[in-house]
Amino acid sequence: MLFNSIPFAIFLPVVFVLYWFCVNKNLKIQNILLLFSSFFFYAYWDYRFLLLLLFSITLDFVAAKKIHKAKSSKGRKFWFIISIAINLSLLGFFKYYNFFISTFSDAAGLVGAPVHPTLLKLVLPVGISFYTFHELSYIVDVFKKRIEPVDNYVEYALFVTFFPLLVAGPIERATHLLPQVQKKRFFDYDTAASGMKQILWGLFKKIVIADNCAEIADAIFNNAAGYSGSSHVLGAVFFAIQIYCDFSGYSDIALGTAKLFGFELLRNFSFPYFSRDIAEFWRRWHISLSSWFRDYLYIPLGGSKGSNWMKIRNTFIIFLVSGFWHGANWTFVVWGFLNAVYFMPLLIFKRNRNNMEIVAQGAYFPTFKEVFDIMLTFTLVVFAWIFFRAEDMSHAISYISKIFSKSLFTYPHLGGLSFDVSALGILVLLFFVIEWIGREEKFAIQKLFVSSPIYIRWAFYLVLIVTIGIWNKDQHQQFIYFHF
Amino acid sequence: MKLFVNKTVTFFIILFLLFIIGIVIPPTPKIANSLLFGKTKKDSLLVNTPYPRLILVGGSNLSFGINSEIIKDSLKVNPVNTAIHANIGLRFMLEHTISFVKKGDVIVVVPEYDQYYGDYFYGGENLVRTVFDVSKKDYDVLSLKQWIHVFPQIMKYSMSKYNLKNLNFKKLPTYSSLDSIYLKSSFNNFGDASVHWHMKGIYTPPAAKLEDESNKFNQDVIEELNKFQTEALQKGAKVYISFPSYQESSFNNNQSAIYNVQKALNTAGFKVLGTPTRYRFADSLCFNTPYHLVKKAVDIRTKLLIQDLRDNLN
Repeated sequence: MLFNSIPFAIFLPVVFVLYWFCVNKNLKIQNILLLFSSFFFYAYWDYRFLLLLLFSITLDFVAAKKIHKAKSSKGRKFWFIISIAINLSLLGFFKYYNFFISTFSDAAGLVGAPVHPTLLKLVLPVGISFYTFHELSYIVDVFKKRIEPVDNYVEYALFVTFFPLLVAGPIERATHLLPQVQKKRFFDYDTAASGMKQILWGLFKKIVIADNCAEIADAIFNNAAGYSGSSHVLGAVFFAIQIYCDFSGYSDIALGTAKLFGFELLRNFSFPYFSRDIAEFWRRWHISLSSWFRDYLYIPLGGSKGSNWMKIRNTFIIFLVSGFWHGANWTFVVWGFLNAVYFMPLLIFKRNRNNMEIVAQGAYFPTFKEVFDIMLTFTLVVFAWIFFRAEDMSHAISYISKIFSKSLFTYPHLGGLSFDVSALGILVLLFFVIEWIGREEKFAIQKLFVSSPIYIRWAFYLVLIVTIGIWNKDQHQQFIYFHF
Repeated sequence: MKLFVNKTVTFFIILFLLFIIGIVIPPTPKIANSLLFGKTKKDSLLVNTPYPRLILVGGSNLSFGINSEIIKDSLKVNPVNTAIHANIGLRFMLEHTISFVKKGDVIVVVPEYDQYYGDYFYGGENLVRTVFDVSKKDYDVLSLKQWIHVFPQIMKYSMSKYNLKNLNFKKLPTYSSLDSIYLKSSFNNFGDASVHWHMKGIYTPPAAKLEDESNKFNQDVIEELNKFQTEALQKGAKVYISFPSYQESSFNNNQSAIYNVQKALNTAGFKVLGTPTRYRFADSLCFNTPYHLVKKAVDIRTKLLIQDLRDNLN
């Protein structure tokens, strides 16, 4: 079920009404309702993978209890390894089997021993990368004795499958979400109203900005040979805007929906395109994944302790793994590698924690230096996104080659588009102005017009809805991160 | 909770009123000038064109890809090009046309390849505009499944009434010179869109994949074509199905999906004119979409269709 679809627009109020009006007095029944709603939400995509999800939940539920109860460290390790191995095997099989097999085949061909392996027609189960990481964090935390395992299967299953975060995160931690699952929840007007606003802003980002920028980016990326270098730059910029509004829009809807049920999920984005260096960008982009890698990979590897060489090695490892997490394609690995390279000067010269505060905090406008830093960071990020978006390495290289050709200095053309690009340009500009104004909040419109009379506030929300209605595409567009 | 519910309900009532107002208020003169309003003229052609008639049914591959005058001269029939826009959906086109069919008519249905995949066949935004703005009497042509399918587009339709761009009452659209070809006055006396015939084509990127995980071959299309054929035969008309003109690079991107269409039509036993490859055109002959042709190609395509018709009619 897509967040930007009619079925979800029916599903959400139905679950909301049942949750707060029919079963609000009993936490256990509330949790059961949310769990079954989450199963329904997931099965609406593809019911076949519900069994896989249930298997994964049951495995980790049992493994965590076994780890906790094991008397010897050998027993603890045994169950820990079983759980990790099965989780990663499932992820590896569905997501990486064909990649590894074809890479092996290519490598064998290069050394003169060609092999012809069978590739499988596998459908990637929706959300597998997300719920696997969810569960890994739980197992690791139980193994490291940071938390005690959950006794109640429903509570654990709800922690993994809670529908707002099931298919594309945020990647939650047991320490953060489980206590909320186990505790009685009370309706809070401000939280719910904030949730509604966040859902609206998320829909605006996705339907108006992301889906329409996608049309331009897709036209140029899919037919790169027919466009000039300047159009290629435009294509990359529109993709950068698309992926931000697509994923952060999804996250806003997820967080807003969770608020309606009294949950506070981890924040996933914090205005990353206003970052002044790449380290700041990574503190603000897909925060739940970055912090997951920090806590469960970077720090166990030694983190920033030790020699410069250790720090450099660890940084490369997390960026490469992060790239690979996104998909079984060398383009993602190169994307991760590029970001690691961008990070190096900051790490080596110990400037990676320079920009910890919000840009131009308390001011209306940034300084010239801040503008320069933001533009430079954005340019680096956009360049890396080309690899992320490209179908394969040769596509990425030909796309970039065109940028560095004479046609870079020609007027970009966008033939074959079904809508007015200049109007979209104005909307994108307005969008970034609103994001700038709201950059000190959790989401851009959180406090916008909050002190204005209700008719102004509501008029603003109605304008957003009308704009969504006007710019809505004929077919509902999937969220990019559903493919990961 | 009470406050939240009250405010939410009030907000949604206001939104609902805006939605209803959007549906009820008439289109601005600018909108009333658009291509879709050419339907009135085409319906009139369907009523008034005398026997012997050749009725062309499809989307813009026909309106922007046929020169009916050549057909008239070559086959000595009176062509009626009913095509407007593919996004109206083939189902509506068939259901709408059947009521005008008379004994002796020859009907050539040429759906775009998109019509065979996913839900395209049920229509989109342009179907909503057609039944709300152009021809309200056609409400009953839509099936329940179609209404459900186009429901999100009704919201888009309603909200578009608040689009400032459409409130321009005097001027015709100006943001692109191509807008001049998408007007109700773009059609000639046969129903062909002919305004672009004196224009040069622009760069047209190839179409994306027709078939993917969420857009599988839609068997309903074959069933609906069968139903249309049966009803037309009962009325004493002949039905042929053919393939749209299609840009070569788009064709190459979608070969298996296109051959699936050909196979499905042949398997179902339709009288099929030509082959997909016969109507494949070099990219340089496309006007502004993979289905639209420049004048030179319009004439070539028309002659190919005439030849296929001759082979079958004799």
